[in-house]
Amino acid sequence: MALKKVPTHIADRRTRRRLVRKHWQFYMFCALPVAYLVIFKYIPMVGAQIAFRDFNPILGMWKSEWIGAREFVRFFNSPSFWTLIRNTFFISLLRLGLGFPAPILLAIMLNEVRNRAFKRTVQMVTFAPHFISTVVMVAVIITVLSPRVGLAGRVMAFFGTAPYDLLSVADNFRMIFVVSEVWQHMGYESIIYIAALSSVNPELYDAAKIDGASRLKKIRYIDIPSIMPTIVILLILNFGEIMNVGFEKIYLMQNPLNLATSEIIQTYVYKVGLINANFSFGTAVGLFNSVINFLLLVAVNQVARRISETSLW
Amino acid sequence: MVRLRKKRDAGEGGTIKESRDDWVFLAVVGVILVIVLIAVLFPLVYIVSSSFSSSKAVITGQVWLWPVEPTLAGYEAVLSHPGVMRGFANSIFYTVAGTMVNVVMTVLIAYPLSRRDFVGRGVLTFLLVFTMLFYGGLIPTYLVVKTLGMVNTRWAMIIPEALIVWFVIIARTFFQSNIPQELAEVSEIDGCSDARFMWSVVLPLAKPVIAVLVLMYAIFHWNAYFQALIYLGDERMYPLQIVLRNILILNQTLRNSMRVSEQMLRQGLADLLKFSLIVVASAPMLILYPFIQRHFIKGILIGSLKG
Amino acid sequence: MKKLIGIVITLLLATFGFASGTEEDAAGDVVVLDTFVRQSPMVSSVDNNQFTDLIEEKFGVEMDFTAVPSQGADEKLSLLMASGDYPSILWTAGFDRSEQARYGGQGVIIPINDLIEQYGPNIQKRLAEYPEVLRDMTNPDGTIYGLPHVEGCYHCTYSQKMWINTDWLNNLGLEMPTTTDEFADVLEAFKTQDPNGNGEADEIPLTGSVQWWHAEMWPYIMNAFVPLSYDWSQAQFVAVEDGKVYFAPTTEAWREGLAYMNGLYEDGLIDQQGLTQQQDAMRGLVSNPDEIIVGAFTAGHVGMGVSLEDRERFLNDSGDGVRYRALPPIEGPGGAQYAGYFPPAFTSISLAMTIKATDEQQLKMMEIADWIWTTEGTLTTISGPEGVGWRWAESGELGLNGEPAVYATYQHDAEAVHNRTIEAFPFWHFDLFNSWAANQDITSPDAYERFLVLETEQYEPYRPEEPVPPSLYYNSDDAQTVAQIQTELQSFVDQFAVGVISGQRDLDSEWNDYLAAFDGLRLEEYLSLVQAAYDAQQ
Repeated sequence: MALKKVPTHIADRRTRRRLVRKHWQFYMFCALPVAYLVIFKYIPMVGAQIAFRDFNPILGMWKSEWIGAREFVRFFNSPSFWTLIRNTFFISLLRLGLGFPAPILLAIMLNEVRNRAFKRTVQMVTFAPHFISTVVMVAVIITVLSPRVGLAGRVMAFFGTAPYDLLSVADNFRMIFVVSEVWQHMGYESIIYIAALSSVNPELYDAAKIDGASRLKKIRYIDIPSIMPTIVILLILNFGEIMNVGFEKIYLMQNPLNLATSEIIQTYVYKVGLINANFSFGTAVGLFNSVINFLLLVAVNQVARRISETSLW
Repeated sequence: MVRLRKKRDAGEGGTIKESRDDWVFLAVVGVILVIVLIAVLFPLVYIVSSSFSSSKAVITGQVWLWPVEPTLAGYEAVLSHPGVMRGFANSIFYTVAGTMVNVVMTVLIAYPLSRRDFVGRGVLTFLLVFTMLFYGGLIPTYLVVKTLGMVNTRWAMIIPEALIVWFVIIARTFFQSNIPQELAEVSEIDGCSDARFMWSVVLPLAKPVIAVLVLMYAIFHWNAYFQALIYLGDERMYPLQIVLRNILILNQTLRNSMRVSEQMLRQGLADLLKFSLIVVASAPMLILYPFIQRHFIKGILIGSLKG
Repeated sequence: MKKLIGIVITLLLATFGFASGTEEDAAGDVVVLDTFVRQSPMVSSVDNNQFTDLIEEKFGVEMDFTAVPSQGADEKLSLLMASGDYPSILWTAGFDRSEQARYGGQGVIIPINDLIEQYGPNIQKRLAEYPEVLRDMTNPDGTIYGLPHVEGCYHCTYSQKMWINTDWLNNLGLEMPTTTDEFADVLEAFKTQDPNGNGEADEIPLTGSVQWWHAEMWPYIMNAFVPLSYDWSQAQFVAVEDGKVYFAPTTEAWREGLAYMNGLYEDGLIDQQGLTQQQDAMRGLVSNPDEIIVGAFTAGHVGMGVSLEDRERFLNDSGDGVRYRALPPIEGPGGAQYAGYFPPAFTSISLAMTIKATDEQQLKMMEIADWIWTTEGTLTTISGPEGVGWRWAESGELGLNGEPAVYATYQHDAEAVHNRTIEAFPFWHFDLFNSWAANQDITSPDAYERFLVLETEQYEPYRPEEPVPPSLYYNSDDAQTVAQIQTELQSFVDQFAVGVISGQRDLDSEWNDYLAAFDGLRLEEYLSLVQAAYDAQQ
């Protein structure tokens, strides 16, 4: 059957208009979601200007005094500014480095398992930790790492080292945090990949088998390419969240001995704000984070565009 | 590195024998997965065991794998705390209603975006992603919700989060990879409208991604805490997470002083409920999961391409 | 498929009514008070509540509560205020001076001076009896924006305590240490002489915790060198001498203190994990069911380490006293001997009225507040209606202070949640608080508060001569600067202190760099702001 070639970018104006008319129903479908976006996302964005004003609720947004970049300056001038940036970035990149491949590997491995019961069990078990609330999660981490009663202590004693609290060494913090994140979320995050893998055309597998391909080859030439679009898209999206390390878990895991590496932007802003509510400061820092996220997202998207077929836009 | 060896299998069809390399590979995979299983299972068992142990045993670090001083006191307290049961019911409502809205909205926008002949998809995608990065701020968003009259109603838990861009992108990616453009062309020739096409062809093929969306949105709603905090003011509407956190997070300094005895009662309550609350709060999602799992394990049939 | 859609649509329509929330009509001429209140997890419901019912009946009002869980209530309240969506009455606002200035200045909350004068005879009486309360709750320009929550928790005033194992002292024939040298000796003895008699060197001489109420070990000990009243969420580290504010962590005495504690640590006398562990871990150690292993620990009150229900652990071996007693402040080599001092401040207001409150509502609310500040009102507020929560004391009953008691409360230990009270703003100052009937036998479970009072009296003589007032007042600009600098300072000082104590940092080689770093942290600026605020309050 002859396939009509559809251009990837529709340059011709006339073609564009024709397509718009042809697919009017699509535009109708999008109307509701777009309305949602406008109402709940874009209209409030006008409020981002709070970062530049000394916000007074009675005067409202438009009449509050304009203070320009004062709050941004306050943030940039904080003595810990560079430490905060460094810590936030390092933790985030480490998490990306370990936490991004893990669900993919898990999904691929699970896809190979033939025993249905085993497969489902592993899936179920790895999925469960995602629900543990942060408070309990940190309690569990601390218990496991406890030199006295925890696994860490017993392992250390077994190898002959005097047990000590791993969380009290600043250098360990990032690793402990990231490993616990991976542990907690890899099952949940693998679901997308599992679903993607399940949509691979079985005929491809049969053909590979007939050609005598080993499983490794099959993974390399069939599985991975099929989920590559998903992988690329998720990678781009993850870069767009790089400054959002997540406040609560870090806050609960901090102690005076690991603050050098565990103080991130969000915890710092929280502590400063704890003493008196300063909206403009929080908003300004939030805006700063968003800009960084945005720049990274665009950059990674461009890279993806050049070297692969998939990109966000 | 395993070298590829061409090997003809014994017969056509029927069970295809694995090569020796594959057995090694499978064994390695199996071992890794078992290690992962144990690594994840151990703390989970700890949590469940703790929920069945006396709080004293838990605090003094006696619980390892099995419950110590077994007791149902934790669960009794959970089930008899009026906020918990009420919160549970509310959470179920928000999750079901919210997820339905979410999935519909997501598919409505994700499929058109996946079509290469949809003019404006680049711009629309950018607009979507932009909202993911830049947030208008708590106060303006609150004001919008308030103007719409949704504050302190249950709608506030459903409408303001009607779309999560991340999930829209995932759905779009799925449609792009798995619903071939050819199908659309064929149906076009058959005189099928876009709407009909989506209804009769896309939806059935989209079961895996819809299953994933249902699961992810359900989890999102189930865990939602912040929206409830800022938009709800009536204790009868609180979801479970609010109740849970109110009980568990104790080390924040309160502005009003707290009597020592009250402090200790609160601590006692937290100790008692901490683990059993987690189990109870996670149970519904864990029960939901196997049901949804079926839909994206099976794979889809692309029989419609033939002929 | 079609059927599924049908069901979905029906469900959506059906939820419409459910989703719109419940609305109640107010009856006739009952005044409706739309009120913001924080809800503790101990309270099952604020609407279905004995206290609420009592108020409604007594004053002919209807309480329309916006109840927010106490966890997250600050954020929610800020949001309500900022978005203009606040109710007429704020029942548990918790606004400090800067917020009063801000909201008052914006006109969002209203002054209540006149209301108190016209409708608050009891309130006036109280304020006359306790002028410090009046002083605290009045803003510099003379405006009063609300009523504070007055709770005179005597033992909270000196809550930076060290609790020491008296059984072990007895077993080893030791006295309570009074100096840093004696303290070190006692800890050494705890460690080496097997006071728990089980033949194993499993004793932990000293432990503590972080992010909890005065559970850090080092502030208590540092008081043998400089006056330090430490609060982990906002530590000021300032002290006063001859009217001049100075920064304790840059003094030589501080350095000596760190050296001393590092010495203890190196000798294995300070629990390694006591510097970083969370509350549960400390409790686990102190309440260890198998063996008693902790010699001393720091905590706001001893119940943080050992539960009251655990009578075996709580009481000493012979059952005639409490096992862990408070150790009065010890004296350092330079002669310093201070107690951490945390006097109650009433600068934060609990009740406030917003500009949305009608005259009628203001009047009714003032009536209610006036009643709450009577003795009966306060007792009902803290424990529930008379006969259910409290009763008048009978003759012969003695209070926390050993004098004849005025009232007693009923024990309700068995329940996890209750509906007898809601959070409010009682006037439960020292005198009333201390005339709470208490079992004078401190070995009895219901004598705990009395026990704490007795222990606290030992700390009284060591109050710093020139304490720093608990809430210094800054104008809004300065307040933000102070907040930011203070956070940085605390982070820096904490890290260095704990780092040195635990041996991760070397005191001698790093001390000068440490001192030099304070310029970059804007210490001078901070001190000048604090000094100005301090002077203004003298």
